[in-house]
Amino acid sequence: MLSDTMIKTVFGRLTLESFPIHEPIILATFIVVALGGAAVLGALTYFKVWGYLWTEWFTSVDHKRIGIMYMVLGIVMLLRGFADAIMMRLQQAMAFGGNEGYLNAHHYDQVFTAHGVIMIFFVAMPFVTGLMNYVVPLQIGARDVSFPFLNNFSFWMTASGAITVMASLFVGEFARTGWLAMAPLSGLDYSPDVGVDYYIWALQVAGVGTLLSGVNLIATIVKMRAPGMTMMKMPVFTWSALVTNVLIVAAFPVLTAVLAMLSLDRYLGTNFFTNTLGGNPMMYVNMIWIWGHPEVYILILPAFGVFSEVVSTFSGKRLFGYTSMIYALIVICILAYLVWLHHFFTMGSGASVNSFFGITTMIISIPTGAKIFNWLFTMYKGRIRFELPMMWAIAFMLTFTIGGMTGVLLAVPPADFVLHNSLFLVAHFHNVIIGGVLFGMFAGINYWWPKAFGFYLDKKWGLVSFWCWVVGFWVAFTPLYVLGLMGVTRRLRHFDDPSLQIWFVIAAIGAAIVAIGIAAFLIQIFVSIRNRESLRDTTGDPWNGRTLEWATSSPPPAYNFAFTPVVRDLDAWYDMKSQNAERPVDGFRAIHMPRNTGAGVVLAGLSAVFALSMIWYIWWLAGFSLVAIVGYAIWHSFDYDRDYHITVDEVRRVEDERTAALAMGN
Amino acid sequence: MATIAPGTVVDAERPVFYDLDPHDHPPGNSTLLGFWLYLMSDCLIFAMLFAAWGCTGRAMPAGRPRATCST
Repeated sequence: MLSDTMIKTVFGRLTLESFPIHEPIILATFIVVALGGAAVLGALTYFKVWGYLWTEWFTSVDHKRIGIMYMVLGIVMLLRGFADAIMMRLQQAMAFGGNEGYLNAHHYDQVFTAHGVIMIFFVAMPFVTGLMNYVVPLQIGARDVSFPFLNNFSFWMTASGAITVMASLFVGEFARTGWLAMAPLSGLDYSPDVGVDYYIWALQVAGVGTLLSGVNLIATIVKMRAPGMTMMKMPVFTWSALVTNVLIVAAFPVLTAVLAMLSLDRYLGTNFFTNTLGGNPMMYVNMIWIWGHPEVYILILPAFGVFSEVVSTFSGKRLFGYTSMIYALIVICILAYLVWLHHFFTMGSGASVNSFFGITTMIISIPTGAKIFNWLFTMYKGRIRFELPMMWAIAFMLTFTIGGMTGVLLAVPPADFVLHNSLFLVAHFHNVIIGGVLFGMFAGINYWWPKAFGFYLDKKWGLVSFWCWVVGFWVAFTPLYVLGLMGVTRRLRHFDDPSLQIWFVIAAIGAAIVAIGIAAFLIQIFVSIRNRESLRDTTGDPWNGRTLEWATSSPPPAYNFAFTPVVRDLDAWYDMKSQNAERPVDGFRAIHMPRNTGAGVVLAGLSAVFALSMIWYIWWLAGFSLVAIVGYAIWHSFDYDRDYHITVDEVRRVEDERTAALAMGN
Repeated sequence: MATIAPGTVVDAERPVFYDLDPHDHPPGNSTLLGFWLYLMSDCLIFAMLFAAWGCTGRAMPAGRPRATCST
């Protein structure tokens, strides 16, 4: 008995049974991941790159390095999230009549929950944050973000959240509640296991990172713009980043609060969201969507920014209707907070409330439509170059417009009563998230890769990836529109009606085509790195760009700009090129820079330990890690050795190299 | 946002494209703005807690009085 108590005290509710070795699929996954992980770690050790990774990347406070690390995190988690997707498509294509498929209900419910959570929080969010981190300071002619150390800390908090979710695959289980963990299902009565706790703590840890990077980027954009860059001379991507981060700072605290209340229900037995004892589950639904709806605009607005840059650059024209673009962004930002109830018209609030939210939802299509027309008018009579980013942008316009129209259909409350929770809804939001956000991220990756690394991405494999993604998307989701209209609801593991099977088989084929698209994307990166010499760009301006990030070298030096550019026009770099602005080659000064620090890794690592010990009720470790977080943060605040100067000689050496490279290019 | 330094020679014929002024960092205090933004986001957490109290504060084990939140 004593030893039992002791084991419980030390390990909480973590037991040997918590490791799901009885599930063959998970065991096989674990073996593959373990072998792959061992191979990667072994290779890193063999090639002795740990020191390099630690000093140059993990501890880096350079916004460019942090941006790239966000993108790597997004790509890795995309593979995990897509593995979940293809498992679901396979299960639904098989499980008809007597065939139960290959996933049991317990596992299948975790798979669809993990797919949603990972794709939104750990794929789409790192992608948009990564692009904003990389591009915004360069576009506004700044040396870095306002708070470089905070930026590093934010990244590692996001990574810690991702690690927490990944841990749930092999230790315990993930939530079986759907990606928003709706109460009362997510309460202790119906979900007594660790799944929902994994969900809560992963999102709380990652949420700190997201919020702080939002604060950071707002302060950067408001305070650190180059001389002459008034608000209405800011590049559209920077504008979209500003609006996005305002949404982040105004929405994520709501998620924090609602998850905190759910934790109180689960840990301390309060009754915020329970069915009984005065709790109100619909309060959870309201609150989570007050965060959740702005969240979808947090994802799409940076993609709109990318498309604005891409369309204008590859049409060789100034963006059509810049001012209306900016006002459209701001209107979408405000309306984002006035539509949340359209996610649950079926709550039964009555005709007046539903009408209000139906109408506000439809109004959002006006600024969005204005943006689509602006992109089309930018292309009109432009000299269009069909490079990869432009192809993604055109695919986006076609795909997203259809997704937007099905969204307006869903905004009609009577129609929503039929389509609520159906596969029509699933098809709609994949239509806008893949066709909008993901296409935008691929456009952005292909567009800014030469800036980040100094060589182009391979076009042939890029085209393979592009066509597989676009075709695969439509093959996978058109059947879901059809099924949804026939009344098939989402998240089902098994079907009785055999006439539906053909649609699910087609959808599975679509998922397989998308899988080829993802593989082609990875091959594209690999081939480009291998052929980097032949794909080299020495000018720093490979696309004949229009904004300031193209004014510096590729990759940019640590300090971005030796001399801050002075902005006179909206397309500042285009203006400088057309006026033959001479790049200063003399008179350099030492540059004051922040020093790298491992504090972000330590604090985020301790946060992951805290999260895991809270999940498993290991109270002593939770207390210890919480004290350690606070103690280390205080100790770190007394570290005054935080900055250094890049010497004049070093700046001159880097700039002379650039001068030589430019001369060779000419 | 920085302005062009007083010493910079502005030639009407030849516009200035680079800020050659020796300042290290742009003037203006980001820290104050950043901290204020962070505080306001905390304020939102409390707003949600008060909203929850407003919705369920008068609820009893037997149920809620009629005049609280919908449903």
